[in-house]
Formats: sequence, structure tokens, C-alpha cells
Amino acid sequence: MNRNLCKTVIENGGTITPLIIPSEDTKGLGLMNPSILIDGDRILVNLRSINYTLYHSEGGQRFIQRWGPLSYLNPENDVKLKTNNFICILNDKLKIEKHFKVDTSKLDIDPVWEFHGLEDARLVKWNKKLYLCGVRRDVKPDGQGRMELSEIVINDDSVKEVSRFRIPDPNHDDTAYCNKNWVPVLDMPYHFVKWTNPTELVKVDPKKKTCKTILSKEDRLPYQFDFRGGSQVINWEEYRLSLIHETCVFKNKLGQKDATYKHRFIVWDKQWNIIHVSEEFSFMTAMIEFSCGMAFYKEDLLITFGFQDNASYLLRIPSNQINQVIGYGN
Amino acid sequence: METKELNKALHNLIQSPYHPLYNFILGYQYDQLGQTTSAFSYYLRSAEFSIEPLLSYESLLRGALCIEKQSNRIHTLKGMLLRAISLMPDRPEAYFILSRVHEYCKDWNESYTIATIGESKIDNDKPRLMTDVGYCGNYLCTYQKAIAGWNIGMFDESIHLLRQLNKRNDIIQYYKDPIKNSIAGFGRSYKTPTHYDWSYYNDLRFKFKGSELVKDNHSQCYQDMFVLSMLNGKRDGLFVEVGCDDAYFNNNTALLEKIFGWSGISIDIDPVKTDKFSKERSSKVITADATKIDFKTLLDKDEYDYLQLDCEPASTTFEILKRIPLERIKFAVITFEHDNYCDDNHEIKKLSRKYLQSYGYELIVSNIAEDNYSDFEDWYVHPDLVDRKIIDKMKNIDDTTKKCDEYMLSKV
Repeated sequence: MNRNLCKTVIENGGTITPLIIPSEDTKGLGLMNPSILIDGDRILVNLRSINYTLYHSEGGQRFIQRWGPLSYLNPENDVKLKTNNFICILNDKLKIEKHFKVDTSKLDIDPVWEFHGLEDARLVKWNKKLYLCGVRRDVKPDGQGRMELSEIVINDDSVKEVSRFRIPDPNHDDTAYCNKNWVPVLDMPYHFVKWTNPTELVKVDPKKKTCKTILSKEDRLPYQFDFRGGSQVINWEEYRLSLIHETCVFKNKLGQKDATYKHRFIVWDKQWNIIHVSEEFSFMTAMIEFSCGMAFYKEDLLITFGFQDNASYLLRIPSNQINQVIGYGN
Repeated sequence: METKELNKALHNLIQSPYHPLYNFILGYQYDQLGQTTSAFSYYLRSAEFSIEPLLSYESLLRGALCIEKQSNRIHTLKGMLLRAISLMPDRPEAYFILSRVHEYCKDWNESYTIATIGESKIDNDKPRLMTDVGYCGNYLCTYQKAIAGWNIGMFDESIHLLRQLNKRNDIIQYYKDPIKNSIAGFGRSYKTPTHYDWSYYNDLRFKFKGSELVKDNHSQCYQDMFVLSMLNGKRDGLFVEVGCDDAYFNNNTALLEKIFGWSGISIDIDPVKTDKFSKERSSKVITADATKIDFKTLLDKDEYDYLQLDCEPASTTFEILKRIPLERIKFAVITFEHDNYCDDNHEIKKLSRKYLQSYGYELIVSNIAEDNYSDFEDWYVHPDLVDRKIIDKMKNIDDTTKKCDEYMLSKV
């Protein structure tokens, strides 16, 4: 396992860029789980802005706090975990030049559950429309989560959400508690990889408000943990490429929740057969890391990831390192 | 947005991600940008990875300060500070911050106790922290102790500590004003009346005519008894009372009016006070800003028996004094409030003494207070209008602060 992908990449000519927007716009709170998309000449990143701070003890875990080694520090007089999204426009040096909070006011309704907003949104452009697709859990009193396709428009001085589509469960299973981490397939409009292992592909129709499973592989590769969606699915040579995460949830000796996330590159052929699963890795050694974005830019591979839910980075892997990092190809 | 320093810190960390100092430095760089959540992650890692207690300690403090800035995460904040204390119980910084947090929560006993412990941990030989955690001087636990102490009833100690702090020259500006304001604010509310009653009769410094008739008085600090002493229980005297406040409570002329038949003019800026005064007292009362009154017109006599000057702040009282035509009018007795206890430069006391003495007034009692600390008034007479024998009996103008009841009851 490579516990420090960033170190490997940087030592071989790559770069890393912190993704930060001024604290005045976020109250200095967390920017996490960024998603990158190359939109023609534009480099776009969505940054998830949250009102909590993740408290996660690592190492010897000598300083766990009253709720354990992993907890969400929301304001104690307000249990809600709130998400806003910021669309950032980067220059060719991969620095944020502009940022806009996504104005969702047109479509917002009063939240009825404690997690507010569109979480872990991935950027995708289909049929010339720009979307954020993530999970929303604030419209049902039990917190039921469903993927949503949120169309946004970037203006000179604002970013506005103009439509919102709550994607139904493809099996019409209304009891399914939380559909999340479906990842968009960039070159297949309105297609998501719902599950990676075995691969299940769904197609949504925003006009008809439907969602159907169009491909469902049967053979599960023998890995201990589920492959959960991470980055979008992008084209790579004659393959499709994505970055997934594995979550190991466990308890400490006090019975308190803890978790660690690991990541892998997944390579499919065009028939959606998994032809390569990379060695597991972490980005910067933290136990809690999460990626929502990956894109090719000038032949380099860009990956955006969140660190401990509290910071965001953009990793650039030089073209000559990509095969080695993924562990596949020529 | 990011800085060169942050980028450098990030690259160092990527090379050695478990290096506690690199985590600390990257946290600090985020901290400098106001990115408290990002900073927090790295501080916590630094605390966890370090085997040096001092670095873990400082990391926990800085992490706690990040949480404090995010507001409303009190349990976590307290928990981190307590863990910092448990790591280095002989350092004062965590005690100070924790005391401040308890102060914010109005947990006064906790704030006071923690500050008291912190105060005992001061040791200038301890190694300095790498960064500024808001602990800018060894006076801070004392400051916290004074503020919290006031709120649990440690009034004397609180005022004493604040005054001690006020004398120090190493206090940073951020704390100077709160110290001054606390002294002034606490001092004002601290002026509990020190009343006379007939059981003290035998102890009176001077048994003026009619003093046996006084069952109790009204002044806060025996001013009414002083006036009657200096004028040997004069009847039907004439007073000018600037800043009369309540008609009876802590009032300096009520006794004169009710028992000794005095009359006069009372002035206050607060219409609520003057409205009550007009209903309960027979003397004339005026609602006005005394700094704008034309005293030359208002005071048409050449002699008055008593002038009270008591407004806020003392500089205003002095301005009012200068508006009174002393070149024409003589007052037999003057009580002047200079609030020296909360006047940094002791200017008003000096200026008022020089000014009144230039008009022939003789200082009879200096530095009157209701306690042993808060000298707030000087009392004068005009020697042309007061018996020299009484002056000699009553005079005490040394530099000490005089507790009013001890002075008036022959103990000072």
C-alpha cells in the first residue's frame, strides 16, 4: 500500500495545490471533497463548504474527546450539518482565480432533516449543461438520501442553480435509505456508475424523472471492502478510469466509532469489465481522505481530494507518471 | 490565496507527514489565513504525533483557539484545554485560556478557580512557546481572577487586584481599557453606603449642635455629617447640589433639609431622578446638564453653605466646578468627587486641589473612600466661613486613603 501518494507524485515531478477560498466567505470552516472538471478552456472545481469541523485523532489517539476519536464538531446549539458549494475557476497554474457560492435559493425548501445541502457533489457537463451531482438528505424527515442532479449556470458574477432533479431509486425501492456516491460517467450523458464491484450502471432521464439500471455485472471481484464511488468516470486511452474509496469502520476499546479510508484506481474496458484494480493508497497519510474529482489537463492527470474533511488539495500527476501511479498501461 | 509559506509547509509535511513540527507549522500557516478548520486538523495531528509534551501542549492550545474562533463548541474547547493542562500542569497558558472560556460561559467559580491555579504557575524561567497563544503576560491569570472573583463576591480582592494591575507598566493595550473600565465600573457599583446611626453617636469625631437628633443619615460616605460638623449643626443653611441623584438614598442634602431646615438647589441630568426628587423633597430641583448651566445667573447669592459636586466622570465634575463663579461666591463647605481610584494619572485630584486652593479653599479631608482603596472625594472648607477650632479638629490631609466611617468616627 502506498500511504503517501502525494509524496510519490511530487518526487516524480508532480505538484500539489491547496484549494482555499477566503475565510470571510466560509467563517474559516472546512473546505472539503473538491471535484474538478475541465470545461473547454475552463478549469472548474466545486468545493464543499461545511459548518462543522471534523475532530479525528490519529497516531496514538491520546487526545480523543468526549465523543470519541472521530466526531463532527458542529455548533453545540445547532446540531445541523450544513453544506454549501462554491464553484471555483482556476487559472492554468491551477490557482483559484474566482469563486462563487452556488446560489440555490430558487429551489431550496425548508430543510426537514439535520444534514442540509447537496453533499459531495461531483461536477459533470452533459449535453452542454453543467451539473453538480451529489446526495441530498434534507427533504425527508427521516434523512433519506437520494442522488440529485443540480443544473448550475456560471455567470460573470454568480453561479445559480437553475434546476434540480431528485433521482429515484432504479429498483423503485423507496425503502433504500441512502443512495450516494454514484459517480457520473463524463462521456455518457446522464449515466452513473452506481456500484463499482460488481459494476452497476444506471441512466437517468431528468425529463421523465426516471432512473433505470442499464448494466449490472454479476461477478464480484474478491476484495474485502466495497468499492465506493469517488471521482467521476473519465476516459483514459481506450479505457475508463475512476478513483474509488474503501471504508473500514471500526470501534475503539471504548466502543466509539472510528474509520479509515483507502483509495484505488479502477480501470474498465469499454464494455465495463474491470480490467485493473490498483494497489490501495492514501493521499497524504490521513485516515480520513476523500476524492470527488479527476480530470486530464494538458495530458497530466489532476485529482482533487479532501483531507480529514477539513482541507482540500489538487494533485497534478505528470503524464509520464500516470501509468506508474495507476499501475496499468504502457 | 495560499502563501509561499503555506506551500513550503505543505511540501515539508508531504515529505514527512508524521513529523509533529511539520504538522504544527502547516496548521499555523492555515491559521494565519483564518482557515481554522484546516489548521485544527494539523494541530491535532501534531499533538498526537509529538513525543515532546511542550509541542503537544502548544498544539492543543492552538487547536483550542481555532475551535474557540468557530464559537459554540465549548465542550471540545474545554476538553482540549484540560488535556493541555494535564500534559503540562505547571504552565499558566492553558489555565488562562480555560479561565477565559469559563468566564465566557459565566461559570464564575470555575473561572476563578482555574485562574487562581494558573496564577500560581507563573515562572519566568519556563521555555517560551513558539507562537502567540494570546498569553501576553504573567498578569493574565490575575486579570481573570479579578474579573471572575468579582462575580462570585470577592469584591475587595477583585478591586485590589485590578488596581495592582493598573499600576503595572507591562500591560498590553488590549487589556488596559478593560482593567480601567472594570475598576471604574466595579468601583461605582461597589460604593455601598456607609451610613451613620445613633449607636455611633459617642464615637463622632465632632459632636456638632443637634447631632444628638440625628438617628441616621443619608449620604453614601458621611458627607452630610461632615457638612454639619464643619458648620456646627447650622440650621436653615443653603446648599447647591450638583449631581443630586436620588432624593434620599446616598443623598447628601436630605438630612440637612429634613432635620436642620436647609434649602437649596439640586441638579441632575436624569429626569427620572429629578421627577422623584421633586415629589419627595421640598427644595428646588433642576433637570439639566450641569456642564451647560449658567451658574453665574442661577446662583444669585454671594455665600452658600454647601456645594456638592458629584458627576460622572470626574473630568466632567471638574469642568462643572470651573463654571461656578468662585471669584464671586464663597461656599463654606465643598465636597468634590475626583474618583482618583480609577483615574490613571491622578489628574483630576491634583487639578481640583490646585484650582480650589487658588480660590482660598482649605483641604480638610483628603482621599475619602468607602473602603480602604477607592479614594474618590476631597472635602474642603472656606476658612472665612468656618470656625478655625473645628477646622483643626477635623483636618486630616495626609496621603492615605481614609475610610469615611473611620474618619468621621474618630478612628483616623
